[in-house]
Amino acid sequence: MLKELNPLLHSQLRLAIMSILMNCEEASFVYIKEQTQATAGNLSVQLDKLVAAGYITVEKKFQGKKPLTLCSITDSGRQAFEEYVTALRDYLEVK
Amino acid sequence: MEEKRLNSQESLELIARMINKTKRQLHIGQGNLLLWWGYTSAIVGLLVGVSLLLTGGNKACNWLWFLIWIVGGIGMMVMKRKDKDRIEKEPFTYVDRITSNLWGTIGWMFALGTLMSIGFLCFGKDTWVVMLVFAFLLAGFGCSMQGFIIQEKSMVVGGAFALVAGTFVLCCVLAGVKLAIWWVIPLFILCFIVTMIIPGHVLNAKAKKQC
Repeated sequence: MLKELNPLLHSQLRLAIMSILMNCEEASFVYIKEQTQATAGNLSVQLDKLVAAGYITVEKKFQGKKPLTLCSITDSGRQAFEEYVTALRDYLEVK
Repeated sequence: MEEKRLNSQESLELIARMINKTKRQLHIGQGNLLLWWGYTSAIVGLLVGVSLLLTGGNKACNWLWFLIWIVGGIGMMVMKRKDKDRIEKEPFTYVDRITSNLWGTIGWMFALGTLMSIGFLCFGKDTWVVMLVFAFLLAGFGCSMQGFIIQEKSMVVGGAFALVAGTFVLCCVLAGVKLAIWWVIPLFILCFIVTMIIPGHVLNAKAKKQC
């Protein structure tokens, strides 16, 4: 029987965020916004959902006088992403 | 990008697209730090060599080696300050972390080696050659390792050259072969040309082509 796809990751923007963070140690809010072409508001909401699930961490600090928000993936986020990709592969093989 | 639900195929395509976007890209000026340390070391090496020749081998000229630390360190701080904006515009990758830790460790090892040598100098022991061997070996090791990490052949080859040269100088010291200015200083300069200056220019040229 096919495993159900993780609903938290099965959305375009959240999956894009996770894919970016899987490939680097940390990325800034500005960088993720540029790559995903999402609005700042929507991106913030989706980041909060991923933080609440424990998939990512968000660190807010200052670089000089400018605020800097850095996001990074957690171990459970990495595991969830890997499981999601495995489940996707299973789906595609069946189809 | 919206809050849209995807089918399996679209999900995989999105993952591939995002991973491709975040692939480590070279940026303009990637080789500048290497160039800075390479040119500084080569020029200071030349300065020490000329001073030694002009003063008939006065050992006090060796204190000029510390110009590498001073000039190199100041330049590095200035470059890092200028580079701060990159944190916001580019992701910090695992390769960045490994590279930064590698050079951090090498920097500390060299600093400790230098301090130990200074300690011996204070007790009248001539340890300048130890610092020279350290410079060959550590710079060579660092460049080779970074070359392997970022898959840059010129750094691997240059670093390997410095490692061989450092080992040769070490063997000469242990075997009691006199280290003459006419070949040690040019070898030192050559090492920094092949380990840092050439790879620095190669990296900058590749970055220019890519961007």
